[in-house]
Amino acid sequence: MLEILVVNMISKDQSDEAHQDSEPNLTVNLANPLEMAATAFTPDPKHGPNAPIYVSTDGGNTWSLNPIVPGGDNFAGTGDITLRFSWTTNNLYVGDLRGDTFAMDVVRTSNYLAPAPATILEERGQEDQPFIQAATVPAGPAAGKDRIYVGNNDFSAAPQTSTLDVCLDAAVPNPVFIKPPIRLEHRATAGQNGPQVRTAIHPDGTVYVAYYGWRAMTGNFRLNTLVITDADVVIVRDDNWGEGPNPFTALVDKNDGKVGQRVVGSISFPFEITGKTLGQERVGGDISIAVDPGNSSTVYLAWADSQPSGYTLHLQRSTDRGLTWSPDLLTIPSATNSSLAVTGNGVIGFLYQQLTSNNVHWETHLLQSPDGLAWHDDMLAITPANVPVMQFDPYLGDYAYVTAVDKTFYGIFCANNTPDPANFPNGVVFQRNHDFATRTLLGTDGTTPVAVSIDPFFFKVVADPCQPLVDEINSLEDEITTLEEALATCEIPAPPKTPARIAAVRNYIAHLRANLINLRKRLQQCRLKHPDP
Amino acid sequence: MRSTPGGDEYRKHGLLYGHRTPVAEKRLGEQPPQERITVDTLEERIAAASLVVVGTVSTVSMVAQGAGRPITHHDPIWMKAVIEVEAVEKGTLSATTVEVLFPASTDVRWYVAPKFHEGQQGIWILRRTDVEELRTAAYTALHPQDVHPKDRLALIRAVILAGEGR
Repeated sequence: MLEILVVNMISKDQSDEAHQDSEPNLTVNLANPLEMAATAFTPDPKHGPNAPIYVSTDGGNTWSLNPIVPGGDNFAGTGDITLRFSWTTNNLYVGDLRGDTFAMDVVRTSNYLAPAPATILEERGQEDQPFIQAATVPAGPAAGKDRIYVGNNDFSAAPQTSTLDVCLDAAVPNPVFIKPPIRLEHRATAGQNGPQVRTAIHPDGTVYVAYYGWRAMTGNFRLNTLVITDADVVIVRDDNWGEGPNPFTALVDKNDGKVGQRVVGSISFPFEITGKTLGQERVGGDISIAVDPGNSSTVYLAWADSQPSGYTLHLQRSTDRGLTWSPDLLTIPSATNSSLAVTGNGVIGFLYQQLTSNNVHWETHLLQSPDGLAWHDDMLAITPANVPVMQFDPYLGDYAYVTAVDKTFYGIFCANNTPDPANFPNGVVFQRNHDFATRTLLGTDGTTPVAVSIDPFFFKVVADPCQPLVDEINSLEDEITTLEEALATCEIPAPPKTPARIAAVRNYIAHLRANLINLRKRLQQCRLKHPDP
Repeated sequence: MRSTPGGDEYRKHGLLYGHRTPVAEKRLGEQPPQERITVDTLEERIAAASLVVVGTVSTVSMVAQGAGRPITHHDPIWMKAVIEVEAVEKGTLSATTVEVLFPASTDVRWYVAPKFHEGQQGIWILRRTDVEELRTAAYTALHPQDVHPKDRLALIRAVILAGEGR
């Protein structure tokens, strides 16, 4: 049985709030995994000059706010915001669009719990969706240096806007970023690229970056009819942290000889300003990338496009450093907000949010697999999709996030916050006042009902490479039991109940039992390799 | 306490002179991009306004955007409302109409800015704003406290007069 924790992150003293706290992000301090920080579109409840981050010191069981991000506003805190702890130095780095000017900031604090505002390291206008990753060099001449990588869509670089801001020594008093920022795109575009620029870092210095190259489009964004009719999903790579004279040019496309391997080409998807395709959630592409910490040649990529069945997520894998890619390991229709992570024991985790076929619910799933073939599905939430009515776009966020520390997945997603245990099949903890019996949120006075809104939810799931086998065994046992009961009560076989037909059923059950024995042997072997978590 | 014209309504709304109403609690709106957003008050909005008018929106239209502007979720989607002006409460206006730009976008950056529709009546507290995306200056009303129903006219006048008397 997997250990799963889901926590509504709004603290008890904020029980009166009904704000749309969407678009979440999360980081765990590798130096002390009890320490975590998170973000969402959450304003400072005290109306101060800085935007808050969510902080936890007890492994995500409880959360509070610490307003330390410069340039907060009173309505959403900031624009797009992501954050990362370095690996060993306890520094926290944040990339955000400031709440006041919407300029991109990269900021740092050495104490994420202290009240002092974070220090601005870099600021630039005309940017979108700064998505930060951070690392600390574990060995070699640069050992101990913090390195940060901020994927962003830099409109000042149009038409090749996919950009990576890199700082190779970010912990020093006056860190210097590589100038000019690294322009990732080496092909012609439709005037610009998509906003999603995502990075995955391996301790050996391998850094992958994935982005959408927009090649053609039709329609009108301002009328919410824009469709990117031709796009590539492109991977670039650097094998030494981005150091050297030509950073992020290690991967050359085997077909056109240009920098950046095209994983898939000629895909199409809508780029919406407000939700049209997936209920109240706007869509416009979706990219996530993760590298196996045990092998930097193995990298996983999730991306989205439009299929005849609708907006669809795809998951692929490369085992040769991004040069060639598997067919889809998974294809998930009507889903968005993909995020990937790989645990220390090689389990791939795939977080996404899927709109049910009748558009009534958002399902938040964490899939995990030891091999990309057999998957275990944990449903973290199944929440109403039409309530509450959107306060602004994005409804749930343009991203959610999962990360891995050792053998555990930690993640964050946003959802309707109705305190209904049925909405959280693996349980949930609410910090804010609530009544599960009446499925009502309560204000700080503990009695006044509070309207349902969108809240961030933290989750923690212990990875178990053997879990898909456990699932298979459970499923097979259920099938055998059902067949045996049906046979005993003469429900099967259907008439005529000849001895031959009855024997056929018994033979089939025996065949299933043989499979069960094989599966149990495989589980035993798996448990020897991976002791029960 | 200093007495102010229109005092009853002024007090009724809790906008006593010198009292800073924490408008953010009411989910108020965005200000021009160049400006810091702080906890604001109606008094401050009016004090900073260059024009306060009473009127009716006669037309609303999309504003043409120059070629080459980036496609971004944070695009304001500027629209233009023409207001037929019945009265000017602050500032000067020689024409009988005033054009006001407003963001139609519901993105997180712009969602709190008031949206206007034809036939809408009210009081507009207007600022002259450099609209970066259009490379022009225009009247805007980007904060929720910048637009009020007509029945608040006495209150608005009281605030204007109080401000002039400071």
